[in-house]
Order: sequence, then structure tokens, then C-alpha cells
Amino acid sequence: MRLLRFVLVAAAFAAATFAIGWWGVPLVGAAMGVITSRERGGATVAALAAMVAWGALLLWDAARGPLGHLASVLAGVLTIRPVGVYAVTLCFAGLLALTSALVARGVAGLARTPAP
Amino acid sequence: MATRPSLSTLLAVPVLAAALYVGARPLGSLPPLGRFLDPVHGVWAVAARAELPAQASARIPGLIAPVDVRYDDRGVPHVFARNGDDLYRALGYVHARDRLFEMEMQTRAVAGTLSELAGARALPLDRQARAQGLAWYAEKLAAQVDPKSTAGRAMAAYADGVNAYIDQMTPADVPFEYHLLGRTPMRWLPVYTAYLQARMGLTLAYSEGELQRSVAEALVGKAAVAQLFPENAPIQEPIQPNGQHAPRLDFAKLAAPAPTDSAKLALAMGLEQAATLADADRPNGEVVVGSNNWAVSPKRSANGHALLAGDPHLALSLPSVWYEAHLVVPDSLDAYGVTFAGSQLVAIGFNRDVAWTETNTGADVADYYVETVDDPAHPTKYQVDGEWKPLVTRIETYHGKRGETIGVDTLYHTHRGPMLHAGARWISRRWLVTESSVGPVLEAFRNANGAKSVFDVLKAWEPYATPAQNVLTADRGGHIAIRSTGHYPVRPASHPTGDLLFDGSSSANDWKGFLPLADYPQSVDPAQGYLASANQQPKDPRVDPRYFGWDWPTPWRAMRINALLRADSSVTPDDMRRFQTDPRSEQVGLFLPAFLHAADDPASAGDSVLARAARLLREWDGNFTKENERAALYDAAVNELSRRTWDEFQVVGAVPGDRTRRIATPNTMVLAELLQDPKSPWWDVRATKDVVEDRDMILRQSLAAAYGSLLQQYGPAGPAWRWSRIRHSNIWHLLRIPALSRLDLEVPSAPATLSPSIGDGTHGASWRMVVDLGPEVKAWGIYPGGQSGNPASSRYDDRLAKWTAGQLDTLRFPHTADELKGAQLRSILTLTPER
Repeated sequence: MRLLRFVLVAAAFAAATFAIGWWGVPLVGAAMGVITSRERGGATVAALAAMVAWGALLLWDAARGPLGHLASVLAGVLTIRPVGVYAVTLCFAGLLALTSALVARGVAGLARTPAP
Repeated sequence: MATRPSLSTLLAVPVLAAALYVGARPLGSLPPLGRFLDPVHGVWAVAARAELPAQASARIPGLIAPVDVRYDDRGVPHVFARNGDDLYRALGYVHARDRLFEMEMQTRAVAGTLSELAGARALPLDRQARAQGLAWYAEKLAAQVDPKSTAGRAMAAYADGVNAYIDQMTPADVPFEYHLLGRTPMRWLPVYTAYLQARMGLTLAYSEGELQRSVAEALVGKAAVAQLFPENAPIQEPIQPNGQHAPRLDFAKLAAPAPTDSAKLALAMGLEQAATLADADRPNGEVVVGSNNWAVSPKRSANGHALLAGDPHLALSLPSVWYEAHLVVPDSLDAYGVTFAGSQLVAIGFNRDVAWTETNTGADVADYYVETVDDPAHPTKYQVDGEWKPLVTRIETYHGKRGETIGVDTLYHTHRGPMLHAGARWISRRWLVTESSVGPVLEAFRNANGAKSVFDVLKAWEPYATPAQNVLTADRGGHIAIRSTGHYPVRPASHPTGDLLFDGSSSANDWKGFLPLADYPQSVDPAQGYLASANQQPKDPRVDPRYFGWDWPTPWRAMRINALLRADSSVTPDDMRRFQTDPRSEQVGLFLPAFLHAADDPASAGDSVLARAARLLREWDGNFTKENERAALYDAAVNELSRRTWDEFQVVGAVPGDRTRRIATPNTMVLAELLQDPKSPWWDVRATKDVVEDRDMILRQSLAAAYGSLLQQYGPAGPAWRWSRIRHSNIWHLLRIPALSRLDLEVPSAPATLSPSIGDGTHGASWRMVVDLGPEVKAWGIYPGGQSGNPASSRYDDRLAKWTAGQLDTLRFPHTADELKGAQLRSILTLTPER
């Protein structure tokens, strides 16, 4: 069940990226933060799912062209190692998802607090 | 009790804010990271279009009939259209597909809007471009092109094709560089073809020699300058054969340098500072942009066919300035060759009957006029024949990447052209490039592309104005011909040359017209059986003393081509290919004996450094091959010799804090002339007050210094001195990003060989082509780079290895679309009309 949920969340990140670009990641992340606001570890799951989603999208790019060569070119331009380019990409998605989920969870918690 | 936000939430807020910020906004030179890293819409998507798909299709608005584009195994599109307009639409689409970023960069370079793409660091380039007024004049002239003419229709149809591609782009189609800059492509306007033509004018016909010449005259006197930067080359091997069977050395004794005229120098320094071209751009006084071409008539070829070689030398870049294409319209056009991305026709190439290629003539088509203005600080009027005329004032505003204003200039124009503020004076420039419409250029290329004979090619080029080109052509009928084609201004009879600053207050100093076509340097089927040009003086002044230009490039390449062709009466296409990277230089024959003679002088006995250097030089076989370990010493010695000899042109800048710099350098042809006079006062080094140097002293000092310099830089003579370790080609990406460039390439090139590599190695052979005009035309060619502008593509630099090895590819020239099949066919693109 957990695995299925994880896959669904990752699919949501991928679909959102397809539909509206990178802004989809913090939006889905925020949604995850709200939905899982009473659970522990929801933000971590969001981060991992976003990274898996973008990783899958990179694999999809790789199936369509010389992604490895492109990574080398990008690494040369950015003066980092090729693996670093992949890492930056995946970590950026993960960071967006994690922080948006955490912030949304916090806001949801505030909203649930009864008025004094 | 109220719930307080957890620590993790509090920490997450600023991190999320920062992530969103760098995701949405550029940070330093980085683009907004969100869009950039997005695997669907960002830079990663570019991988999907790196290679050509087996099949693709697109709809183009305005297309009349389907166009079949077949890419061969070298990535060359063979465009089969049913009419001319569709051909231009398809070519626009095809160019944009592979070279869109390059097209925008070259357009912005002319328009002076690079800052909008690359930021404030490009502002100096933009200021220079706007001051030259290229785009402004190009727009005015393009407005006069009849939209129904061939040129008008070609420009409009081409723009349709480019914009169709832009409109249909997915993120994967957006070129890599736009992702990197966080920008999107601009739309293409028909006038941008005129911009490109203006840019070629800037590359090939821009001259500021008069400005530096004024300083040089103040430094060493008019008589000396007239010989050091002469109207007639002291070595004559002209483009139009002069009936001689060897180069003629018209060497004369050079006038001694006159004492510096300080008052004149102070005034002239303002001119030098207004110039945009520095002497450093001309190593040893050599122009870095040059080209070779030659043709052999059937009587001197092994197979009895006319043969033609084209070899333009330009700034090397990735992607290349050239894009190969084969353009077909039934019964009208079937031409193959290199095109400029941004223009509609084959610039250098061949069809089923005839081949053509060009080198730059170097005609003097720019003059400078000292203007009298009403207010030197804020001029509004200038005086001509006693009357005040209003200046055209233009306010140029420069924008940065986000549209912010980063600079404003006020520019002034007289009826001659833009004005430069040179110290206390205002100078206007009349320049043929800003007067010449793109229309005749496109008409000339269109008609030449469809020519049936050399005579058709010559006819097609008749209206062409500038930049003047040595148009060489050969046909299947066995004819060869050349003509240095372009408009040559006729100056006033009182001063028929354009090597001085004219007085702008008199209209009598304006141009009087242009030379008639019959006076252009030209030759058809000469008795010698071959024709060659390499930017040398086109006509022997003993044949025709008329003025075409001054300070001609050195003739070493022209002499070498002529020597090779004279020595071979049975030339093959492979010989033509070998000649293009021939490792010898005719310069060596004049300088090497002089160095060795000087080193043998008893006065130098006991100088062990000089003795070692001389021994090494004596061992040299005179070749600039990659593996040669002695060529470097010769090259360094000639550089030293030039530097030490022309110390008279070193000046301290007029502006406080300005470094000492060289104002001008006579080229090595003049240095060779000076070698004939061992006691000339030019050999004396001004800094050594108590010694009067002569030729042999300077030669010895130069050789020893060159040896010491190589020793210090590379260690003892041996493999470390291999020519390939010292002389490189450097092909920079348009954004000068090292990772996208190909640097330190080992090449069979030297400063004065047929494949030249001068200075920092950023210029060189940009397209090598050999055409065999037999019953069925065959051709071979290569350029440094590849067809694709996508750095992730295998087609980005796939031709470099062969280019550096001096090899050529066989060019496929199918009669029909279906003739390309199997391994020869890489991709099919079908363009159809938009419903």
C-alpha cells in the first residue's frame, strides 16, 4: 500500500511537471504537506517521490537522445562533474518538494488550531 | 493553546523561498534554475533533438507545394522544392532547425542588441555596432527592395520558414544556448538577411587604416609611410595574370624615418583612439582574414577537366559560419555548397555545369573626412562648400537582459555616414557597405547559382557592389575565369587614392563615381592555364596603375599557389586537396637565408646561444608540418625581427595611464624589402642610444632571442618544440564558453602557409572545397565543425578530425530525392502547406 502510494505521488509530480513545468513540484509538494499533515514523514516521502519523478523523466529524455553526452556538455559549461549535473537536478526537485510540503504542513497545522 | 510552527517548518520557509527564487530568477550568470533543470521543458529536453529523426514533418504557412528535404549521411539537407519561394521557406526552416541561435547572435551583433541577450558585458560591442550604423543603413536600404523582386520574395519567404520553425518549437527544439541564457528566440524579420550582408561587409570591407596612418605619418613622416604601407605591393604576383612566369620583386630602398612631429602626433592620437581595430589584431602586420582560390584549365589537369579549389579563411566558430545545403528547383536551380545561416543561396559551391568560389579583394571602399562642425561639444550642423547642413542625430538606447536601460549614446551622421569623435575633431566615414542594398547581392547569387557557364557567373555578378570579391569560376566546357568584382570608388583627381583623411568641408573631395566593369581586374582562359587569388594586389600596376586599395596583404600564399601550379602540369583533384594544406611558405625563402647569413658573420663568433640557434635553423627542412621541431624557431625569429625592427611605431598612449603600444606594423613583405638594405636606419633601435644597429645585428639578436624564448617556454629543443605543440587553431563557441569550444587543435597551418593560422589561431580555413568539372561534376569539401548547432549532437563537431588532418569528404550530389538511400540517407523531413 505504501509503495503504491509512493508511486502515485511520484506520478503526480511527473504529471505536474509535464503540465505546468517545475512549478508543479512545489504545488504537489504543498498538496502532499496538507494531505499528510497529521502523519510523520510525509514531507520526506514527497521529496523522494519528486526525485524519483524527475529521475524517471530524465530516463525518458535518455530514451530519446544522448542524455549522457548532454550531461557532459552541461558539466563542462557549469565546471562540475557530469554526475553533479544529475545530482543538482534531482536535489533541486527534492528540495522544492520537501520544503513546500513542510511549509504546507505547518500552515495546515496553524489553520487547525482552535481560536483562543 | 495555540500550536506553534515546528522548527522544521520554520527552517523550511526560508529554504523554500530561496529555492523558488533561484528557480524563477537568474542568479549571476546562471539562468533561472527551475525552468533550466526541468526535465520536460528545460535543457535536458535538448537531448531529444540532438540527432536527426528518421522521419519528420512540419506545416509551413504560405508554402505552395510540399517540399522534400533529405538529409544525407553527413547531415547535409538536400532540399527539393517545386518553386523558388518554397525553396527559401524550406531553407529558412532547415537553417533554423540547426542554427537558430547562431542566426540570432549574428543579427544582434549587427543590430547592437547583444546586451539584451548576454547582459552588460556585451555593451562595448553593441556601442561599436551602433556607431557603425550597420543596421540602420541596412534597414533603410532594404526598404527600397521591391517586395516582388527575387530578393524581396526570397527574404520574405525565408523569414516565413524561420518563423514557422520558431512557432512550432517544443522545449526540445529550443537551442541549448537559449536554455543556458534563460531566453527564448526572437522572431525573424526579412531585413535580417540584409543585416547578415552588412556583417559580411564589416568582416571583409571595413578599414580604419587611414586613422592609424595619420599617427604613423606623425611618427616617421609621410614619405616613409608611403613605402611602409604602400599603394603597390613590392612583390607582384597579381590575380589578373601579367604575363610573367615568376613573381616580380619591385624592392626599393626605404626612405629613412623622419623625426617625430609631436604636434601632429598629439592631434593624430585622437584618431587612433577613435579606431576600433587595434594593431594587435594584425600580428606582424598581417590581416587575419584571407582566402585562397585557384582553378586549372583542362590542359593542365590530369583528367582533362577543369578543376576548381575554394578555400575561404574566416573567423572560426562553433557552430561554423557555413552551413552546407543542396538546393533544387526543377529546371531552375540545382546548386550545392555552403550557405550562411540567415541567407538564401549558395555562396561558394557548384551546380551541374559550373563551380564558383570567392576570395576577398580588399578594395578600399571606406574614406574618412574631417568635418567642420558648429559646436564640437554638441554639434548640430556641419559645413560643406560654405553652407551649414543639419546633422542627423540618433539617440541610441541600450537595454540589458531584463529590458533595463544600461546606456544611451547620441550619434551623428553626415551625408557621408556616421561621425567619430576623434580627440578634438569630428571625422565622418563614407563606407560603401552602408550604401549597398542587399537586393543586388541576392540577385547575383541567385543567378550565379543557376549559371550554365563561367560567362553566366561573371554576368550574374555584374551588379554586385561590396564587399568586393575575387570571383573564380570554372565550367564543364573547360573554361576558367576570375574577376575582382565590386564597386571601386573613384576619388577626386586631386587625390585619386583613399589613403588619407579628406577635408569634409568641400564636396569636391567626395567620390566621383565608380570604375566601369571593364576596368575590374579579370581574366578568362589565360594562356598560363590556371588562375589563382589569395588576397594579393589584383592588378599589376605596370599593367594598370589605377587605384584599388593600399597596404595589400602579403603575397606568400599567392606565390605558393602559383609556384605549385606552375610546377605541375597534370594536376589531379587530390593534388588540389594536398595544396590546401601545403606545409611550405614562400616567405621562408627570403628570411631564412638572411638569418643564416647574419649568424655566420665572424662578428658573432663566440656567441654560443646564437650558434645553437643557427645550427637548429640550418637543420630545418623549411616545412611547417605538425611534427616539425624546427619551424617554431623560424616563426619566433620572424616575430622577434618584426617587433625589434618596427620599434619606431611604439608610442605611449595619450591618455594618462595608457600603456606603451604599437600603432602600426608594416607587414612581412615590406620587412623582406627592408632586408635588402643592410644599413637602413630602420634597423637602428631607438632605445639603444649609443649603438647603431644594422640588419645583421638585428637578425642575430632576433634569432638568439627567439631561441631563448622557446627554451624558456618549452624547454630544450626536441619534441617539446614540435610545431603541433606550439601552433594551434582555437575554435570558440559563439558565447566563448570553453566547454562548447574546441581549443588547442593541432593543425597543418602556419602564419604564411596556404592554410594560415595567425595570432591566436582563431581564424583559418573555414571551408575547403575541390570541384572536378567533368561530364558528371564531382566535389569534395570540409569545414571545421558540423551542421548542428546543438552541442549534444554528434553533428556538432563531426568534421573537425578530418579538417585538422587536411582531408575532405566526398560531397553527395543526387539528381533526385530518391537517389539518396540506404546508408547515404539519414533523415527525411517533409514540409507541407498549412491548411
